[in-house]
Amino acid sequence: MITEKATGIVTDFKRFAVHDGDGIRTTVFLKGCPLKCVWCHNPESIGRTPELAFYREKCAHCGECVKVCPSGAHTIEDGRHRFHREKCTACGKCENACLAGALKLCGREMSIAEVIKVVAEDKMFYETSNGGMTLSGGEPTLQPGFTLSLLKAAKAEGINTALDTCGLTTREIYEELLPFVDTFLYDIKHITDGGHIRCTGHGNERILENLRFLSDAGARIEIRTPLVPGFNDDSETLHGIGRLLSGVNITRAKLLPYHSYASSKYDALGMENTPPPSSARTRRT
Amino acid sequence: MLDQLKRDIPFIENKYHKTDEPFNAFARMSYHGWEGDPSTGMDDGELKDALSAFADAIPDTEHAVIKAKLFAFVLDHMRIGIDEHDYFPLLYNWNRPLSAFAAGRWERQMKISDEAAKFRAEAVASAAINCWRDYDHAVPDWHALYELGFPGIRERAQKYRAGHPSLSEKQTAYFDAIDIEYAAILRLIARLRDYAAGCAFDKAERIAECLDHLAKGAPTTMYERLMLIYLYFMLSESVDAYQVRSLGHGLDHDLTAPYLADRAAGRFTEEELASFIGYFLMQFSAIGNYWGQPLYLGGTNLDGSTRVNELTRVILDVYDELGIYNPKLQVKYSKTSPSWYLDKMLDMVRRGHSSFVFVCDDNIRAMMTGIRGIPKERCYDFDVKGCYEFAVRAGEFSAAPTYINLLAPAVSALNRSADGDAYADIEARCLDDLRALLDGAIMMTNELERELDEINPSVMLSATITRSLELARDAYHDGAEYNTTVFVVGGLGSAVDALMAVKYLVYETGTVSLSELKRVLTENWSDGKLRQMALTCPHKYGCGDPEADSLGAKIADMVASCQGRPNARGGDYKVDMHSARQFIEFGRRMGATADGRLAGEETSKNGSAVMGMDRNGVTALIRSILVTRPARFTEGYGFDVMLHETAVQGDDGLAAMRALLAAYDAGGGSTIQFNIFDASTLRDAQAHPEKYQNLQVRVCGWNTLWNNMAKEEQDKYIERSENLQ
Repeated sequence: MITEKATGIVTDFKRFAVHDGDGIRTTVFLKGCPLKCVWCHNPESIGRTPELAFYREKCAHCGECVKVCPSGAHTIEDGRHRFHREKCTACGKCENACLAGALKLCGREMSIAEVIKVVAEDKMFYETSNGGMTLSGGEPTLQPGFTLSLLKAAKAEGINTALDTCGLTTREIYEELLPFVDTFLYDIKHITDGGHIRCTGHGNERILENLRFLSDAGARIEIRTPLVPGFNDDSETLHGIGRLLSGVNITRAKLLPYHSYASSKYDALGMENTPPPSSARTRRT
Repeated sequence: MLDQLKRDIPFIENKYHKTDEPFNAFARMSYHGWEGDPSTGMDDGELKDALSAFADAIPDTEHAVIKAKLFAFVLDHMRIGIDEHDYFPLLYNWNRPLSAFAAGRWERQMKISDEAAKFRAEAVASAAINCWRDYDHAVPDWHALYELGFPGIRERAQKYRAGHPSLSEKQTAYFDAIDIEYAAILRLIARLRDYAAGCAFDKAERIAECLDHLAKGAPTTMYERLMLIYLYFMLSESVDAYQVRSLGHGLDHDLTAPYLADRAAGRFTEEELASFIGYFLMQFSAIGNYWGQPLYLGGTNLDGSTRVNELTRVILDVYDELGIYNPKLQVKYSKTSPSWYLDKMLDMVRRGHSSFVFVCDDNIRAMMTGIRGIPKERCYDFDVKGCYEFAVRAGEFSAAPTYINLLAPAVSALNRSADGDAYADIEARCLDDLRALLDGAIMMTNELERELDEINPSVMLSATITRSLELARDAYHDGAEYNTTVFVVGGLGSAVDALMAVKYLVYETGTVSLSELKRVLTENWSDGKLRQMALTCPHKYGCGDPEADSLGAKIADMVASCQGRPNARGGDYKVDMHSARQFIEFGRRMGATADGRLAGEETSKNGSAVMGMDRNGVTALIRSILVTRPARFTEGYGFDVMLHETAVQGDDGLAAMRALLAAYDAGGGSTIQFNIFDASTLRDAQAHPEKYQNLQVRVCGWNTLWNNMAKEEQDKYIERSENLQ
């Protein structure tokens, strides 16, 4: 039984999202993900707690952040700014002080009302496009109480809902969310357990079970497969995914092209980036 | 489909401009790419000298008659030509040859009161207004021209003249001038016909036959209608000195009947008919005026059914295949528009055709009946003219003499304020200054427009307008049903952002005192950190910010209140949220402003946000714009949207564009146009202009080639597109 939560950690919003379900949508990115996908293009959504991204190429070395930081995470040494991540408490004060836009707080606690207010602003566009709100991440089901409350609140506002999920959660959570989700955007990243572990650090047994459960329960499902060079762009894997999908009820399946736009985010977050090699095969696929 | 035309395009492209000189998009009607046949008439120098001597010999009389005699002289001595590569003839003359002896001379003789002159001088000096007498927003009654032809138009005027029981000297001159000009037009057409009949190439016979029909009566085929439009356009724009701001009253609607008749009678094949349209469109592409040549498509019939038909598709297909951006297409859309119509155009837009203005048909008709009180029978088929202006078809001439810069009152309000004043005082002063500016502009404009018909009588135009003939009064001045005057207003985004930045820097954050901010501005933002704060102010117009939008609505309310105030021509004022090129001109003459704008930089365009400041995406931008209620702006409301190319890819992208149009329409929108950009493409285009000869962008009511823009302007587009990533 999910205990509903009035607040949660939100990484970001994306308005005019036209590839995250039907119509024009506002995608709400919730923080935290159980997988460690080698290609992840939202690394700021992996950790469960707020964290600060520092885009050093934008830094003007003005020292404004030093003035407002309560924990000494920012210093100016020899005229240059240094960020001491280990001291940062992610309070966000420096983000507002940074005029150059070099500091960005990834994740902040927000209430249901605050999130729905942002989402409802674009209601006029949902109405002309059959769009709505998409919860994404990270993995929204890692914040099940907040996710359930958000979905209910959106439905109460008459807003169409979509849940972008990696499939790695419990069947019970899906059971409780199901009545409030109009469309599941369901990731199938690999067909074999070993392949999935190699791609994401986690097996896919439960992911496939949950897909069958949602399909049997009559959920509206759109499959999304990021096509990643060297990991899942071989013919055998793609045919395997095709065979799997022939046995479940889905509205459509999409191949998502891999891109490397997120590399600067890894640097800004102090995370190691392990981009896949480029692959002529992917382009052919 | 257009194989022959494609072979002829190099000739047409060089028809209107000298090939050995750099292309000048501002060189209005200086058609010298092709010299024509020297044996048929005078060249520039000869004609200029002869016209000068002729003008000296004309006795001083009513201006309309003097102008008509000059017009006839030019037409009678104009060099002409017909070529095997073109279905449309050459009319050789220099840039508005009558000007030096007519409008230009009479303009200098006109005086306005000392009060009006003082207001004008001060307001222009402070970059608050720009103004000049405007003759550039006319559309004739094309339907009368189709029905009667040039001979019938002349005969109808003669009948009206005979029907008037008594005529004043001025009214007599009005009819004399029409007769002189239309007689000259018929002589010119006959001359062109005879010349074509003497040519031996394939197209000559068809051209001669077409001109013969036009010399004797009304056009009978689609090609003849196109020829009539072309001849009227050329003679009005370049000799009679009135811009023709729409080609037809909906080109698809106007050509449908003859198109179907030609096809049914087997006169021309579908391919030949499409080809005529292609040759016609190419003329305007080749002329290439900077301000673009508009025509419109679509619309709604009185019974509510759509006007979009199979010819609409043919025109769009031809336009698409030619890959041109001039003429610019203004397209009416509504809930009854067929889905293929919007999909076809939106797909063209995302492939780089940015020459489309989408017009919310239902909202404009509702505005004309609701706000202006025009019967729906008179406005269901309203004209879209110029950049994106609306007028009653064949019944309204809206001159646009005065441009208003909304940033100026924001600046004057700040200059009139001092430390200790509350923010509310500054905002109130801005609105007070704006009210005073608008009142003064009305006083001055009324004087400016008092004698439009004495300076540039609208002879060709008046002859097409029934009401003008009934009254025997100049159609463009005071002889139409609706003789309106337009305030052309821009800089809304800059004005809002400037005031919001003052509030943020001085009152919300206490970062700087008012006097210190004013000092920094006089030093063109000598404090870079402060400027960065102004640029990142959280209250920017175009971001869906309630506070900024609320101020935008207040300013828009004030501007819209001018609607309906009486003008000097028996009509009233209209308002157009549209800045044309003045956003560059005003900006060039203004110092730094509190929104972070540096001295000399352009202001915001139309009702749009400051370039690059619409940081919350297109949905927030549209929401902000809708707060100002665009459809109440009776002359028009320009609004540009920039989208990243990845957002409009595939079926989802097309559906999203369609949904944006629908939402804007449902929210009370007026017009909207798209620029689809990828920042990396623009950066590459700036670095390698030679690779992007055809890259076009929507500027402000018109399109221009990327390579024709100044680097600073290109930088703004790149900056804005980077925000879309």
